[in-house]
Amino acid sequence: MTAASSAIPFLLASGDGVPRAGSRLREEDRDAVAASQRGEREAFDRLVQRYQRDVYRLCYRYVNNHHDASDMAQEVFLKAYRAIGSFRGDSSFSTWLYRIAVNTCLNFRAARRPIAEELPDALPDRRASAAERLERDEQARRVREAVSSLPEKQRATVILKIYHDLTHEEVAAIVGASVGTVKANLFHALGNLRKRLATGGRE
Amino acid sequence: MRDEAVHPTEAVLLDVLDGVAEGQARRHVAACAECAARVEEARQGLGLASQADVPEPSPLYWEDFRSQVGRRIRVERRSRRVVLAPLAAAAVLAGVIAFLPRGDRASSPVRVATLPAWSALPAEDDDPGLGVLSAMGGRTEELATTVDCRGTEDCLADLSEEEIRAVADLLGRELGGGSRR
Repeated sequence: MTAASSAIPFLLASGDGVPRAGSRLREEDRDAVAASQRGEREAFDRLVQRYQRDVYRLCYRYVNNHHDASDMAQEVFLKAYRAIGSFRGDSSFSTWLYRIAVNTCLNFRAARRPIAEELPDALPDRRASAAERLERDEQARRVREAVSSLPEKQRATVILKIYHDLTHEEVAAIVGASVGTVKANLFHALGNLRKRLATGGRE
Repeated sequence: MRDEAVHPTEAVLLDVLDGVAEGQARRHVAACAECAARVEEARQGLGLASQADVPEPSPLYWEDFRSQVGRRIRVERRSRRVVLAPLAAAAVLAGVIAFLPRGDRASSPVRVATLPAWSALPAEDDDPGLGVLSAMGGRTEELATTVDCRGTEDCLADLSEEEIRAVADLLGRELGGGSRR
């Protein structure tokens, strides 16, 4: 599969009839976006600071390792910086940014196979014993890999709906599908996750 | 019609799982072992999915992350300037041509294209290109305001594609159609 064919085709289009998520720009984003469009780099830095964690986590869900997730998240913001002048506020800034992030992740995955790697400087949970942490980390790794192995649209739906807590309408705007399709994809994805984890990844 | 006659769609089954389905769908799932099993499987999948936290980087990481993004933006702006430097030089040249005594051109009015506004034109005396850019903008107030760039190249690096095209068009007309070369 080529990088181009892997990208969700609607993502960079506008006026395509795809439902728009949250038609209003979040109040706190509006000023920063407008200032960024005027070329104020400090304002764009505020947007980076506000969304860096969400974008990083979304990227991590796709690649399952820190270094690639970090690199991709930087790439997402670089693309957003280049395109901020064309952002018209039809959707929320976060929805627009997630579109860029999902497309970047899909293109990256098309070009490289993911390498599972734990974060070396991840913060330990001091409340849990070492054995508990180990077991929980292992289970989390298995689930992340199962999510990562889902078909493209199911994976995007699970990541955006479950881990980023977006509404069905917002997910629909990002992945370019109807709300009904998003719900169906999510239902299939949850069943597939259950099957894959029950069979150790073999469905 | 009996509720269990037709299986609901997956979208409706998800509504059942979320507890927001209509009564007919709920009754179907309650009476249909096949659909009940699918909903239960999805419920378990949802429970498993919630066990997949992403490892949290150290707080120090985010500062470095922003620095890296800022560095990549600066690198990109610099490389864009390299591309735009000849354009800046041409802008200065066009400005010189435009401001020379007009002589034989006096009878024909000079057309000044209206450019979209850009944000930054500092009144710095040491960069004549800035004045030229301002003049090319139609000598309107929208270009006389403020200022974030330190020179012609810096201003040009901030232009949108549309603005670059407008500048290039204007230069083409000035240099191509002018009589003072």
